[in-house]
Amino acid sequence: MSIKSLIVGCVALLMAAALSACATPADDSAEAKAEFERTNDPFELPNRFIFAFNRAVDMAVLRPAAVFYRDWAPAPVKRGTRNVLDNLNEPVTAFNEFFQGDPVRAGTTLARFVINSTVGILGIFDVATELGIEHTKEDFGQTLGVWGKGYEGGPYLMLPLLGPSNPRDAIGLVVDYFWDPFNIAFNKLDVEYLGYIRAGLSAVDGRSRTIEVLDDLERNSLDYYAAIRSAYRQRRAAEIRNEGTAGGKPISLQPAPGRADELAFIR
Amino acid sequence: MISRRAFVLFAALATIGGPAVASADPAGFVKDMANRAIGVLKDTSGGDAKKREAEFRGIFRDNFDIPEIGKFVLGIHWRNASAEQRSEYLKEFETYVVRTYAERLSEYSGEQLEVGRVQTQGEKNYVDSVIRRPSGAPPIRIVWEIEKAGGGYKVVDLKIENVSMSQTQRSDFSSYISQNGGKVEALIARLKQFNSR
Repeated sequence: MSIKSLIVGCVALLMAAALSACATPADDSAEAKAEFERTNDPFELPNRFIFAFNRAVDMAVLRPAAVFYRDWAPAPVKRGTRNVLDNLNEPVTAFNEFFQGDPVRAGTTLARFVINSTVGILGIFDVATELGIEHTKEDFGQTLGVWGKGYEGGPYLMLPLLGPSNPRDAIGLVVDYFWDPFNIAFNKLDVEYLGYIRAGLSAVDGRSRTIEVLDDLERNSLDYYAAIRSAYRQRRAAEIRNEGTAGGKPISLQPAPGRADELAFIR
Repeated sequence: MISRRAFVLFAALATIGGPAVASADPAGFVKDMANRAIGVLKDTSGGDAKKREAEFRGIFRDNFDIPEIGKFVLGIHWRNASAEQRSEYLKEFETYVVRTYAERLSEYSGEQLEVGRVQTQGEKNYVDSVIRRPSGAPPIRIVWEIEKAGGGYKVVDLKIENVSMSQTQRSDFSSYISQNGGKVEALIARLKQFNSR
């Protein structure tokens, strides 16, 4: 089974599971309905089931691997690995920046890619950042979010192995997979195993950076599933508005109409 | 795609985001308080953990609007709760929230917080800040939502990397309550159990 069929399979499975089991609001009051719509998790039962499965995999495999990597890999190795993975991602980011209507930013990202792939020796060294060209990351879920203003992504979906998502971001994952030039090349050249190595390293590297935050969230939440669901929505909304990171845009003060994830501002 | 108004606001406010002299402005307030809190949490091995915790609790009580946060976090269930339930909830919530904030912020213990731009909307101020990690890991962005209270300010929410503490806790509590028959007592009992941990 290839990564491609895994991703497509997961998404198809989820869409099917999603249609089969539906939750209902707590009672008939307007407030309960509003809360229900805000949560937007009609497939909570299958989602929780998959979440339990993902957590089991995480506890047994991913988290231990990430802890080992964090504690034992030398800092330059970790830095270099992250740089190579980021560099492989730049073409997809550039496509998305272009389709988000920002060709200048897309050009800058491509320039980063060229500099880091050559001077930075296959992306091991992030020379571009040192030259003052900052790293950005955009995916197709965000591109859809930019164009579908007011559309907050649809019902919450927990994808097997891939984690929290929604129809918008799940479609984004598939599109980004298919137009990634490295995935195309790996498949064409019959070196699909490189794709697995990349996916594995991405998973371990990414998880190694969320160990403390997720441990903390798990320890201090009453319903970890609900806390993750909320955090995921908030983060994605901010990423779509490009407010995600340090030095990013100032946060939006006025909630866009119909954006359930921004009700925090209303009170 | 910053709107013109937001840009003007930003430009106007950028001027008061400079070095803080006193806690009279939102940026100075956040800078003083946060660096004091993070300093207290600094893991000085051999130090008195109990004393540190008490100190943090003191800073938290003085600078955070705990009832306001608690009310928001309970969400739609606040209105339906009885007076006793409310006061009991707030009592347990205080212990809970001090602990969750302390644990979250202790991840950044001993590091310095740099305060950036301030945005104002009505009664609210949003103070942008950044914690730079010595390990070379990406810096952490924290936005402090503060309100005027008496002569000074009080924090009502923290957005760490764009995830609001209050909003996340609100979803968490709301889900816990609906998993337990829609009863606030279930949540209070759970908080009690949690706090006695």
